[in-house]
Amino acid sequence: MSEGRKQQIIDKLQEIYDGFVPSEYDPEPTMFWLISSYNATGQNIELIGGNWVIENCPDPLKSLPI
Amino acid sequence: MGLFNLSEIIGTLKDNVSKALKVKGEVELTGSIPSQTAIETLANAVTVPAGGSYDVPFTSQGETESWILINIDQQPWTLRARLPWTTGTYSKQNFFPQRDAHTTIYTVVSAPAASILLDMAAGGGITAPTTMQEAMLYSGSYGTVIRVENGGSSPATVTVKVRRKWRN
Repeated sequence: MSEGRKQQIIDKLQEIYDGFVPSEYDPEPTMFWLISSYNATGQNIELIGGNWVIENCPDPLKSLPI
Repeated sequence: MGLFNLSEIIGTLKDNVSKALKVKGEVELTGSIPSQTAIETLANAVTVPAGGSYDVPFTSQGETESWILINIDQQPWTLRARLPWTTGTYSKQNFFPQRDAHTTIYTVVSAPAASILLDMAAGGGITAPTTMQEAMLYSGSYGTVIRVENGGSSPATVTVKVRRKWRN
């Protein structure tokens, strides 16, 4: 994966995170929620998962509860 | 015939038993040893392509019960485990309840689908359990591979955890 593509994914994940709205069942963002939301965009061509976020993203993304 | 002193006899008996057991003083155990539990993440929000599957190596730690917890956002989905006596056959009957083309999704992390791993699989004359009570008779843990199959038409996000429980 190129660095440009990596940064593109990180930016998209950050955008998703920033748009989190707490709900009764999801009071806080989780790694599952983040990846699920990213998958819903149809842009996860590389099929990244939670471990990719931990290895490549800054906080708070990499520290999301699993 | 003389009378025996019962208290002397009992006292002598106690002393001799104590000497035989090498007990010095009294030993008293109170309370109980609590059950232990532990939760471990086996797959962290992996993405499984439509029609694909994801295999998770599972290692037994000698626990009495292994509860497999699944979060998934696509359906239908199926949960399988490799049989204890083979190296290549995966069965959905290693779990209770079974998750066979299951159409409910579990997107709330605090409310996953929970199935207990059975140390057996139906077939060859063995009937699959139909109640939790029956399933608990077969609960156990063994080294295997757990497989989650995504039968949906879109990539699935899957988290797999295990809650291990060691009973007294």
